[in-house]
Amino acid sequence: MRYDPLLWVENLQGWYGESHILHGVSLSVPRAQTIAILGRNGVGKTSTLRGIVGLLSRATGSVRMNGTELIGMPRHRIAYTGIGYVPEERGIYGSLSVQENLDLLPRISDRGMSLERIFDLFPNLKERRRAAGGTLSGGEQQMLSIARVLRAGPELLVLDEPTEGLSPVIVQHIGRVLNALKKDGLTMLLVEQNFHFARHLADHFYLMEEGRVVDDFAARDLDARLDTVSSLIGV
Amino acid sequence: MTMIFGVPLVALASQLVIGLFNGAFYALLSLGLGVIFGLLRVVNFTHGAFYTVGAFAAFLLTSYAGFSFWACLVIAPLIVAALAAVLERSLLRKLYGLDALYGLLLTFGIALLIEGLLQFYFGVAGQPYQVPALLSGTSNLGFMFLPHYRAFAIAVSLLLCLLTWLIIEYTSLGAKLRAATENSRLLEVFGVNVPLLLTCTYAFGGALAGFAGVIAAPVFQVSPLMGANLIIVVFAVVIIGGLGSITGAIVSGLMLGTLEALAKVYWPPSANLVPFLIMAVVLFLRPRGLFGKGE
Repeated sequence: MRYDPLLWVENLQGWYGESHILHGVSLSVPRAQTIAILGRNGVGKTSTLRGIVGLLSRATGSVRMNGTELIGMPRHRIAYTGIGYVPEERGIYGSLSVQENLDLLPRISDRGMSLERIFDLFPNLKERRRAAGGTLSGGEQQMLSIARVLRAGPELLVLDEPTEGLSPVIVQHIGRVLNALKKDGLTMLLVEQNFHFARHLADHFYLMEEGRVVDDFAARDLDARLDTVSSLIGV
Repeated sequence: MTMIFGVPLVALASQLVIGLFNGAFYALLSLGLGVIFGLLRVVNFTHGAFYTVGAFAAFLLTSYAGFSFWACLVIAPLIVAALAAVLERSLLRKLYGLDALYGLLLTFGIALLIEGLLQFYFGVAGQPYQVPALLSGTSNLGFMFLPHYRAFAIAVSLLLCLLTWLIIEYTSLGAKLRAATENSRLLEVFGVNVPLLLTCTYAFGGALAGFAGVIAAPVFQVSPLMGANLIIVVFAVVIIGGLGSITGAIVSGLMLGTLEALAKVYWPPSANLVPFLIMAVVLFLRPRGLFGKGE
Protein backbone atom coordinates (compact mmCIF):
# COMPACT_ATOMS: atom_id res chain seq x y z
CA MET A 1 0.00 0.00 0.00
CA ARG A 2 1.21 3.51 -0.80
CA TYR A 3 2.26 5.53 2.27
CA ASP A 4 -0.20 8.36 2.43
CA PRO A 5 0.35 10.64 5.43
CA LEU A 6 -2.22 13.24 6.44
CA LEU A 7 0.42 15.96 6.76
CA TRP A 8 3.66 15.94 4.82
CA VAL A 9 6.33 18.57 5.46
CA GLU A 10 9.34 18.63 3.19
CA ASN A 11 12.38 20.89 3.43
CA LEU A 12 10.45 23.65 5.24
CA GLN A 13 12.55 26.80 5.49
CA GLY A 14 11.19 29.62 7.59
CA TRP A 15 11.92 33.24 8.45
CA TYR A 16 10.80 35.76 11.05
CA GLY A 17 11.49 39.04 9.32
CA GLU A 18 15.17 38.81 8.36
CA SER A 19 16.17 35.94 10.61
CA HIS A 20 16.28 32.49 9.07
CA ILE A 21 14.95 30.11 11.73
CA LEU A 22 13.97 26.87 9.98
CA HIS A 23 16.62 25.22 7.87
CA GLY A 24 14.82 22.48 6.03
CA VAL A 25 12.43 20.64 8.35
CA SER A 26 10.98 17.41 6.97
CA LEU A 27 8.44 15.27 8.78
CA SER A 28 5.26 13.39 8.16
CA VAL A 29 2.16 12.79 10.25
CA PRO A 30 0.32 9.54 9.42
CA ARG A 31 -3.44 9.42 9.85
CA ALA A 32 -4.80 8.65 13.33
CA GLN A 33 -1.33 8.86 14.86
CA THR A 34 0.16 11.29 17.35
CA ILE A 35 3.52 12.78 16.49
CA ALA A 36 5.60 14.69 19.01
CA ILE A 37 8.42 17.09 18.22
CA LEU A 38 11.04 17.25 20.97
CA GLY A 39 13.98 19.56 21.42
CA ARG A 40 15.42 22.29 23.56
CA ASN A 41 14.08 25.82 23.74
CA GLY A 42 14.65 27.85 20.61
CA VAL A 43 15.42 25.01 18.18
CA GLY A 44 12.43 25.81 15.98
CA LYS A 45 9.66 23.53 17.29
CA THR A 46 7.09 26.30 17.68
CA SER A 47 8.26 27.87 14.41
CA THR A 48 7.67 24.59 12.61
CA LEU A 49 4.05 24.58 13.78
CA ARG A 50 3.68 28.25 12.91
CA GLY A 51 5.11 27.52 9.48
CA ILE A 52 2.51 24.81 8.95
CA VAL A 53 -0.43 27.09 9.80
CA GLY A 54 0.93 30.05 7.85
CA LEU A 55 2.14 32.29 10.66
CA LEU A 56 5.75 32.83 9.60
CA SER A 57 6.61 35.96 7.70
CA ARG A 58 8.16 33.82 4.96
CA ALA A 59 8.31 30.10 4.31
CA THR A 60 9.56 27.94 1.45
CA GLY A 61 9.56 24.21 0.84
CA SER A 62 6.45 22.13 0.92
CA VAL A 63 3.67 21.55 3.45
CA ARG A 64 0.96 19.26 2.13
CA MET A 65 -2.23 18.51 4.00
CA ASN A 66 -4.27 15.73 2.42
CA GLY A 67 -2.22 16.35 -0.70
CA THR A 68 -3.01 20.08 -0.85
CA GLU A 69 -0.03 22.45 -0.81
CA LEU A 70 -0.32 25.00 2.02
CA ILE A 71 2.73 27.16 1.26
CA GLY A 72 1.46 30.22 -0.56
CA MET A 73 -2.17 29.53 0.29
CA PRO A 74 -4.06 32.53 1.80
CA ARG A 75 -3.86 32.12 5.57
CA HIS A 76 -7.62 32.02 6.13
CA ARG A 77 -8.03 29.03 3.82
CA ILE A 78 -5.50 26.79 5.54
CA ALA A 79 -7.92 25.75 8.32
CA TYR A 80 -10.31 24.38 5.71
CA THR A 81 -7.79 21.70 4.72
CA GLY A 82 -8.58 20.23 8.16
CA ILE A 83 -6.07 21.81 10.55
CA GLY A 84 -6.98 22.95 14.07
CA TYR A 85 -4.30 25.04 15.75
CA VAL A 86 -3.82 25.38 19.52
CA PRO A 87 -1.13 28.05 19.91
CA GLU A 88 1.46 28.17 22.64
CA GLU A 89 0.09 31.43 24.03
CA ARG A 90 -3.41 29.82 23.87
CA GLY A 91 -4.83 32.77 21.94
CA ILE A 92 -7.96 33.20 24.03
CA TYR A 93 -9.88 36.32 23.06
CA GLY A 94 -10.09 38.11 26.38
CA SER A 95 -12.95 40.45 25.52
CA LEU A 96 -15.13 37.59 24.26
CA SER A 97 -17.01 35.33 26.64
CA VAL A 98 -16.15 31.63 26.90
CA GLN A 99 -19.27 30.84 24.88
CA GLU A 100 -18.29 33.37 22.19
CA ASN A 101 -14.80 31.89 22.03
CA LEU A 102 -16.36 28.46 21.57
CA ASP A 103 -18.63 29.69 18.77
CA LEU A 104 -15.97 31.83 17.09
CA LEU A 105 -14.39 29.40 14.66
CA PRO A 106 -16.08 28.60 11.37
CA ARG A 107 -17.05 24.93 11.05
CA ILE A 108 -14.51 23.38 8.70
CA SER A 109 -16.15 19.94 8.53
CA ASP A 110 -19.10 17.97 9.89
CA ARG A 111 -16.76 16.40 12.47
CA GLY A 112 -17.25 19.49 14.63
CA MET A 113 -17.88 18.49 18.25
CA SER A 114 -21.21 19.29 19.89
CA LEU A 115 -21.31 21.61 22.89
CA GLU A 116 -22.55 18.69 25.02
CA ARG A 117 -19.46 16.64 24.20
CA ILE A 118 -17.20 19.68 24.77
CA PHE A 119 -18.71 20.32 28.22
CA ASP A 120 -18.45 16.61 28.91
CA LEU A 121 -14.70 16.75 28.27
CA PHE A 122 -14.23 20.10 30.03
CA PRO A 123 -16.88 20.58 32.74
CA ASN A 124 -15.13 23.74 33.99
CA LEU A 125 -15.94 25.52 30.76
CA LYS A 126 -19.65 24.88 31.21
CA GLU A 127 -19.65 26.61 34.58
CA ARG A 128 -17.73 29.55 33.19
CA ARG A 129 -19.42 29.91 29.82
CA ARG A 130 -20.54 33.47 30.51
CA ALA A 131 -17.20 34.62 31.90
CA ALA A 132 -14.92 36.79 29.78
CA GLY A 133 -12.06 34.81 28.25
CA GLY A 134 -9.59 37.17 29.89
CA THR A 135 -10.70 36.18 33.39
CA LEU A 136 -9.97 32.45 33.00
CA SER A 137 -7.11 30.71 34.78
CA GLY A 138 -4.24 29.35 32.71
CA GLY A 139 -5.66 25.84 32.82
CA GLU A 140 -9.13 26.96 31.81
CA GLN A 141 -7.65 28.99 28.95
CA GLN A 142 -5.80 25.92 27.70
CA MET A 143 -8.99 23.84 27.85
CA LEU A 144 -10.89 26.54 25.99
CA SER A 145 -8.15 26.78 23.38
CA ILE A 146 -8.41 23.04 22.70
CA ALA A 147 -12.21 22.97 22.98
CA ARG A 148 -12.88 25.70 20.44
CA VAL A 149 -10.81 24.10 17.68
CA LEU A 150 -12.56 20.78 18.36
CA ARG A 151 -15.85 22.62 17.70
CA ALA A 152 -14.58 23.49 14.22
CA GLY A 153 -14.01 19.82 13.36
CA PRO A 154 -10.34 19.45 12.37
CA GLU A 155 -8.78 16.25 11.05
CA LEU A 156 -5.38 17.24 12.45
CA LEU A 157 -4.87 18.88 15.82
CA VAL A 158 -1.69 20.96 16.01
CA LEU A 159 -0.82 21.53 19.67
CA ASP A 160 1.96 23.81 20.85
CA GLU A 161 3.06 23.08 24.44
CA PRO A 162 -0.40 22.19 25.78
CA THR A 163 0.90 21.63 29.31
CA GLU A 164 3.21 24.63 29.67
CA GLY A 165 2.86 26.33 33.04
CA LEU A 166 -0.10 24.23 34.21
CA SER A 167 -0.59 22.41 37.50
CA PRO A 168 -0.18 18.60 37.56
CA VAL A 169 -3.93 18.07 38.01
CA ILE A 170 -4.73 20.09 34.89
CA VAL A 171 -1.93 18.39 32.95
CA GLN A 172 -3.47 15.02 33.83
CA HIS A 173 -6.89 16.21 32.75
CA ILE A 174 -5.58 17.45 29.41
CA GLY A 175 -3.65 14.20 28.97
CA ARG A 176 -6.86 12.19 29.49
CA VAL A 177 -8.73 14.33 26.97
CA LEU A 178 -6.03 14.04 24.32
CA ASN A 179 -5.87 10.28 24.85
CA ALA A 180 -9.61 10.03 24.39
CA LEU A 181 -9.39 12.05 21.19
CA LYS A 182 -6.60 9.81 19.98
CA LYS A 183 -8.75 6.73 20.60
CA ASP A 184 -11.45 8.40 18.48
CA GLY A 185 -8.96 8.49 15.61
CA LEU A 186 -7.95 12.17 15.68
CA THR A 187 -4.48 12.85 14.25
CA MET A 188 -2.22 15.05 16.36
CA LEU A 189 1.04 16.91 15.94
CA LEU A 190 2.42 17.99 19.26
CA VAL A 191 5.27 20.15 20.46
CA GLU A 192 6.01 19.46 24.11
CA GLN A 193 8.71 20.32 26.62
CA ASN A 194 7.18 17.92 29.13
CA PHE A 195 8.79 14.73 27.90
CA HIS A 196 6.87 12.50 30.28
CA PHE A 197 3.60 13.91 29.00
CA ALA A 198 4.63 13.35 25.39
CA ARG A 199 5.83 9.77 25.87
CA HIS A 200 2.41 8.64 27.10
CA LEU A 201 0.73 10.10 24.06
CA ALA A 202 2.96 9.94 20.98
CA ASP A 203 3.39 7.10 18.48
CA HIS A 204 6.43 8.65 16.85
CA PHE A 205 9.01 11.27 17.84
CA TYR A 206 11.04 13.83 15.94
CA LEU A 207 14.06 15.47 17.51
CA MET A 208 15.00 18.98 16.44
CA GLU A 209 18.19 20.98 16.78
CA GLU A 210 19.06 24.36 15.27
CA GLY A 211 16.11 24.56 12.95
CA ARG A 212 16.33 21.02 11.55
CA VAL A 213 15.12 17.52 12.35
CA VAL A 214 18.13 15.53 13.56
CA ASP A 215 16.50 12.21 14.41
CA ASP A 216 13.18 10.40 14.47
CA PHE A 217 12.03 7.10 15.88
CA ALA A 218 8.92 5.15 16.81
CA ALA A 219 7.60 5.10 20.37
CA ARG A 220 8.53 1.43 20.77
CA ASP A 221 12.20 2.35 20.16
CA LEU A 222 12.11 5.11 22.74
CA ASP A 223 13.62 3.10 25.59
CA ALA A 224 16.65 2.16 23.50
CA ARG A 225 17.15 5.83 22.62
CA LEU A 226 16.53 7.27 26.05
CA ASP A 227 20.16 8.28 26.57
CA THR A 228 20.48 10.21 23.30
CA VAL A 229 17.09 11.82 23.82
CA SER A 230 18.02 12.84 27.34
CA SER A 231 21.28 14.36 26.26
CA LEU A 232 19.59 16.24 23.43
CA ILE A 233 16.65 17.70 25.30
CA GLY A 234 18.10 17.63 28.77
CA VAL A 235 15.49 15.70 30.72
CA MET B 1 -41.63 83.26 30.84
CA THR B 2 -39.76 80.41 32.53
CA MET B 3 -36.09 81.18 33.00
CA ILE B 4 -33.29 78.74 33.78
CA PHE B 5 -30.13 80.33 35.11
CA GLY B 6 -31.16 83.56 33.43
CA VAL B 7 -31.91 81.98 30.05
CA PRO B 8 -35.48 81.58 28.72
CA LEU B 9 -36.56 77.90 28.70
CA VAL B 10 -37.57 78.18 25.04
CA ALA B 11 -34.10 79.26 24.00
CA LEU B 12 -32.45 76.65 26.17
CA ALA B 13 -34.65 73.83 24.87
CA SER B 14 -34.10 74.81 21.23
CA GLN B 15 -30.37 74.92 21.78
CA LEU B 16 -30.50 71.48 23.39
CA VAL B 17 -32.25 70.07 20.34
CA ILE B 18 -29.58 71.61 18.13
CA GLY B 19 -26.97 70.16 20.47
CA LEU B 20 -28.47 66.67 20.29
CA PHE B 21 -28.73 67.04 16.52
CA ASN B 22 -25.02 67.89 16.24
CA GLY B 23 -24.26 65.20 18.79
CA ALA B 24 -26.00 62.63 16.61
CA PHE B 25 -23.56 63.49 13.79
CA TYR B 26 -20.63 63.28 16.13
CA ALA B 27 -21.85 59.88 17.31
CA LEU B 28 -22.37 58.47 13.79
CA LEU B 29 -19.01 59.72 12.59
CA SER B 30 -16.98 58.81 15.65
CA LEU B 31 -18.61 55.38 15.74
CA GLY B 32 -17.34 54.67 12.22
CA LEU B 33 -13.93 56.15 12.99
CA GLY B 34 -13.69 54.10 16.17
CA VAL B 35 -14.66 50.81 14.55
CA ILE B 36 -12.20 51.41 11.71
CA PHE B 37 -9.39 52.33 14.07
CA GLY B 38 -10.11 49.36 16.33
CA LEU B 39 -9.84 46.84 13.54
CA LEU B 40 -7.61 48.37 10.86
CA ARG B 41 -5.43 50.49 13.18
CA VAL B 42 -5.87 53.29 10.66
CA VAL B 43 -6.63 56.85 11.76
CA ASN B 44 -9.05 57.47 8.93
CA PHE B 45 -8.72 61.10 7.87
CA THR B 46 -10.87 60.30 4.82
CA HIS B 47 -13.86 60.08 7.17
CA GLY B 48 -14.82 63.73 6.77
CA ALA B 49 -14.61 63.35 3.00
CA PHE B 50 -16.90 60.29 3.18
CA TYR B 51 -19.43 62.46 4.99
CA THR B 52 -19.09 65.13 2.28
CA VAL B 53 -19.39 62.55 -0.50
CA GLY B 54 -22.57 61.23 1.14
CA ALA B 55 -24.09 64.71 1.10
CA PHE B 56 -23.00 65.36 -2.50
CA ALA B 57 -24.29 61.98 -3.63
CA ALA B 58 -27.69 62.88 -2.17
CA PHE B 59 -27.56 66.34 -3.75
CA LEU B 60 -26.65 64.95 -7.20
CA LEU B 61 -29.09 62.04 -7.06
CA THR B 62 -31.93 64.39 -6.16
CA SER B 63 -31.08 67.34 -8.43
CA TYR B 64 -30.09 65.41 -11.55
CA ALA B 65 -31.80 62.04 -11.28
CA GLY B 66 -34.91 62.99 -9.32
CA PHE B 67 -34.38 60.55 -6.47
CA SER B 68 -36.29 61.29 -3.27
CA PHE B 69 -34.57 62.05 0.03
CA TRP B 70 -35.64 58.62 1.27
CA ALA B 71 -34.04 56.83 -1.66
CA CYS B 72 -30.87 58.87 -1.14
CA LEU B 73 -30.80 57.85 2.50
CA VAL B 74 -30.21 54.29 1.28
CA ILE B 75 -28.31 54.81 -1.98
CA ALA B 76 -25.82 57.49 -0.94
CA PRO B 77 -24.34 55.43 1.94
CA LEU B 78 -24.02 52.48 -0.45
CA ILE B 79 -22.11 54.67 -2.91
CA VAL B 80 -19.77 55.80 -0.12
CA ALA B 81 -19.37 52.18 1.03
CA ALA B 82 -18.38 51.14 -2.50
CA LEU B 83 -15.88 54.01 -2.72
CA ALA B 84 -14.44 53.04 0.66
CA ALA B 85 -14.19 49.37 -0.32
CA VAL B 86 -12.28 50.26 -3.49
CA LEU B 87 -9.90 52.53 -1.56
CA GLU B 88 -9.27 49.83 1.04
CA ARG B 89 -8.64 47.08 -1.50
CA SER B 90 -6.47 49.15 -3.83
CA LEU B 91 -4.46 51.42 -1.49
CA LEU B 92 -5.02 51.13 2.24
CA ARG B 93 -4.45 47.36 2.28
CA LYS B 94 -0.85 47.80 1.19
CA LEU B 95 -0.07 49.78 4.36
CA TYR B 96 -1.16 47.23 6.99
CA GLY B 97 1.75 46.20 9.12
CA LEU B 98 3.51 49.52 8.60
CA ASP B 99 3.55 52.37 11.10
CA ALA B 100 0.08 53.90 11.61
CA LEU B 101 1.49 57.19 10.32
CA TYR B 102 1.42 55.89 6.74
CA GLY B 103 -2.29 55.13 6.87
CA LEU B 104 -2.92 58.57 8.34
CA LEU B 105 -0.96 60.25 5.56
CA LEU B 106 -2.67 58.23 2.83
CA THR B 107 -6.19 58.85 4.12
CA PHE B 108 -5.41 62.55 4.64
CA GLY B 109 -4.17 62.75 1.05
CA ILE B 110 -7.27 61.01 -0.28
CA ALA B 111 -9.46 63.42 1.70
CA LEU B 112 -7.66 66.43 0.16
CA LEU B 113 -8.04 64.85 -3.28
CA ILE B 114 -11.78 64.26 -2.88
CA GLU B 115 -12.40 67.71 -1.44
CA GLY B 116 -10.27 69.30 -4.18
CA LEU B 117 -12.22 67.51 -6.90
CA LEU B 118 -15.55 68.58 -5.40
CA GLN B 119 -14.33 72.18 -5.15
CA PHE B 120 -13.17 72.07 -8.75
CA TYR B 121 -16.57 70.97 -10.01
CA PHE B 122 -18.92 72.68 -7.56
CA GLY B 123 -17.00 75.63 -6.12
CA VAL B 124 -16.86 76.40 -2.43
CA ALA B 125 -20.37 77.84 -2.20
CA GLY B 126 -22.92 75.52 -0.60
CA GLN B 127 -25.69 73.84 -2.57
CA PRO B 128 -29.16 73.87 -1.03
CA TYR B 129 -31.05 70.64 -0.35
CA GLN B 130 -34.76 70.55 0.44
CA VAL B 131 -36.09 69.09 3.65
CA PRO B 132 -38.44 66.25 2.59
CA ALA B 133 -42.06 67.42 2.60
CA LEU B 134 -43.10 64.79 5.13
CA LEU B 135 -40.68 66.20 7.69
CA SER B 136 -41.00 69.93 7.10
CA GLY B 137 -42.69 72.01 9.75
CA THR B 138 -42.52 72.08 13.52
CA SER B 139 -44.58 70.95 16.46
CA ASN B 140 -45.44 73.22 19.35
CA LEU B 141 -44.54 71.32 22.49
CA GLY B 142 -45.72 74.11 24.74
CA PHE B 143 -42.29 75.05 26.05
CA MET B 144 -40.63 75.04 22.61
CA PHE B 145 -41.07 74.48 18.87
CA LEU B 146 -39.61 71.17 17.75
CA PRO B 147 -38.57 71.04 14.07
CA HIS B 148 -39.74 67.67 12.72
CA TYR B 149 -36.69 67.13 10.59
CA ARG B 150 -34.28 67.56 13.49
CA ALA B 151 -36.30 65.23 15.67
CA PHE B 152 -36.25 62.65 12.87
CA ALA B 153 -32.50 63.07 12.34
CA ILE B 154 -31.74 62.58 16.04
CA ALA B 155 -33.99 59.51 16.26
CA VAL B 156 -32.74 57.78 13.13
CA SER B 157 -29.07 58.45 13.95
CA LEU B 158 -29.45 57.06 17.44
CA LEU B 159 -31.30 54.06 16.07
CA LEU B 160 -28.45 53.38 13.68
CA CYS B 161 -25.89 53.72 16.47
CA LEU B 162 -27.91 51.35 18.64
CA LEU B 163 -28.21 48.85 15.80
CA THR B 164 -24.46 48.96 15.18
CA TRP B 165 -23.79 48.46 18.87
CA LEU B 166 -26.17 45.47 19.02
CA ILE B 167 -24.51 43.88 15.99
CA ILE B 168 -21.03 44.30 17.44
CA GLU B 169 -21.93 43.11 20.94
CA TYR B 170 -24.45 40.36 20.27
CA THR B 171 -23.97 38.70 16.88
CA SER B 172 -21.40 36.17 15.73
CA LEU B 173 -20.22 38.66 13.11
CA GLY B 174 -19.68 41.15 15.94
CA ALA B 175 -17.76 38.53 17.92
CA LYS B 176 -15.47 37.96 14.92
CA LEU B 177 -14.97 41.71 14.66
CA ARG B 178 -14.03 42.00 18.32
CA ALA B 179 -11.75 38.97 18.05
CA ALA B 180 -10.04 40.43 14.96
CA THR B 181 -9.46 43.64 16.93
CA GLU B 182 -7.58 41.58 19.54
CA ASN B 183 -5.59 39.19 17.34
CA SER B 184 -6.43 39.10 13.66
CA ARG B 185 -3.61 36.80 12.50
CA LEU B 186 -4.76 33.97 14.74
CA LEU B 187 -8.36 34.50 13.65
CA GLU B 188 -7.19 34.01 10.06
CA VAL B 189 -5.52 30.73 11.04
CA PHE B 190 -8.90 29.64 12.41
CA GLY B 191 -10.38 30.13 8.94
CA VAL B 192 -12.00 33.57 9.19
CA ASN B 193 -11.55 35.65 6.06
CA VAL B 194 -10.02 38.64 7.85
CA PRO B 195 -9.07 40.60 4.69
CA LEU B 196 -12.75 40.57 3.70
CA LEU B 197 -13.74 41.56 7.23
CA LEU B 198 -11.38 44.55 7.02
CA THR B 199 -12.83 45.69 3.70
CA CYS B 200 -16.39 45.35 5.00
CA THR B 201 -15.55 47.24 8.19
CA TYR B 202 -13.97 50.11 6.30
CA ALA B 203 -16.92 50.21 3.90
CA PHE B 204 -19.39 50.10 6.80
CA GLY B 205 -17.62 52.95 8.61
CA GLY B 206 -17.72 54.90 5.35
CA ALA B 207 -21.42 54.15 4.94
CA LEU B 208 -22.18 55.52 8.42
CA ALA B 209 -20.34 58.74 7.49
CA GLY B 210 -22.18 58.87 4.17
CA PHE B 211 -25.48 58.42 5.98
CA ALA B 212 -24.61 61.31 8.29
CA GLY B 213 -23.83 63.35 5.18
CA VAL B 214 -27.28 62.74 3.72
CA ILE B 215 -28.93 63.64 7.03
CA ALA B 216 -26.85 66.81 7.16
CA ALA B 217 -27.66 67.92 3.61
CA PRO B 218 -31.05 69.58 4.31
CA VAL B 219 -29.82 71.46 7.38
CA PHE B 220 -26.29 72.53 6.52
CA GLN B 221 -25.56 73.38 2.93
CA VAL B 222 -23.89 70.79 0.76
CA SER B 223 -20.35 72.08 0.38
CA PRO B 224 -16.96 70.47 -0.36
CA LEU B 225 -15.52 71.47 3.01
CA MET B 226 -18.43 70.46 5.24
CA GLY B 227 -16.61 67.29 6.30
CA ALA B 228 -13.23 68.90 6.87
CA ASN B 229 -14.81 71.34 9.31
CA LEU B 230 -16.55 68.61 11.25
CA ILE B 231 -13.89 65.93 11.37
CA ILE B 232 -11.56 67.73 13.79
CA VAL B 233 -14.28 67.82 16.45
CA VAL B 234 -15.09 64.18 15.70
CA PHE B 235 -11.50 63.20 16.45
CA ALA B 236 -11.86 64.97 19.79
CA VAL B 237 -15.05 62.94 20.39
CA VAL B 238 -13.24 59.68 19.63
CA ILE B 239 -10.45 60.54 22.04
CA ILE B 240 -12.86 61.62 24.78
CA GLY B 241 -14.91 58.44 24.40
CA GLY B 242 -11.85 56.21 24.33
CA LEU B 243 -10.26 54.82 21.16
CA GLY B 244 -12.03 51.70 20.00
CA SER B 245 -14.95 51.98 22.43
CA ILE B 246 -18.33 51.79 20.71
CA THR B 247 -20.29 53.00 23.74
CA GLY B 248 -17.72 55.73 24.25
CA ALA B 249 -18.15 57.04 20.72
CA ILE B 250 -21.94 57.21 21.01
CA VAL B 251 -22.16 58.64 24.52
CA SER B 252 -19.39 61.18 24.14
CA GLY B 253 -20.75 62.25 20.72
CA LEU B 254 -24.13 63.12 22.20
CA MET B 255 -22.59 64.61 25.32
CA LEU B 256 -20.27 66.86 23.37
CA GLY B 257 -23.04 68.09 21.08
CA THR B 258 -25.16 68.95 24.10
CA LEU B 259 -22.37 70.65 26.01
CA GLU B 260 -21.46 72.69 22.94
CA ALA B 261 -25.07 73.83 22.71
CA LEU B 262 -25.19 74.76 26.39
CA ALA B 263 -21.96 76.71 25.96
CA LYS B 264 -23.59 78.62 23.10
CA VAL B 265 -26.42 79.65 25.43
CA TYR B 266 -24.40 80.61 28.46
CA TRP B 267 -21.10 81.82 27.05
CA PRO B 268 -21.16 81.87 23.23
CA PRO B 269 -17.46 82.62 22.65
CA SER B 270 -16.50 79.37 24.39
CA ALA B 271 -18.67 77.09 22.24
CA ASN B 272 -16.00 76.22 19.70
CA LEU B 273 -13.47 75.59 22.41
CA VAL B 274 -15.62 73.23 24.47
CA PRO B 275 -14.75 69.97 22.67
CA PHE B 276 -11.04 70.60 22.99
CA LEU B 277 -11.22 71.78 26.59
CA ILE B 278 -13.08 68.59 27.48
CA MET B 279 -10.59 66.55 25.50
CA ALA B 280 -7.70 68.13 27.40
CA VAL B 281 -9.35 67.47 30.76
CA VAL B 282 -10.20 63.87 29.84
CA LEU B 283 -6.69 63.21 28.54
CA PHE B 284 -5.32 64.59 31.77
CA LEU B 285 -7.58 62.58 34.09
CA ARG B 286 -8.21 59.45 32.01
CA PRO B 287 -5.64 59.16 29.23
CA ARG B 288 -7.51 56.22 27.66
CA GLY B 289 -10.75 58.17 27.40
CA LEU B 290 -13.98 57.90 29.36
CA PHE B 291 -14.80 54.36 28.14
CA GLY B 292 -11.36 53.26 27.01
CA LYS B 293 -9.90 49.97 28.14
CA GLY B 294 -6.25 49.33 28.74
CA GLU B 295 -4.29 47.51 26.06
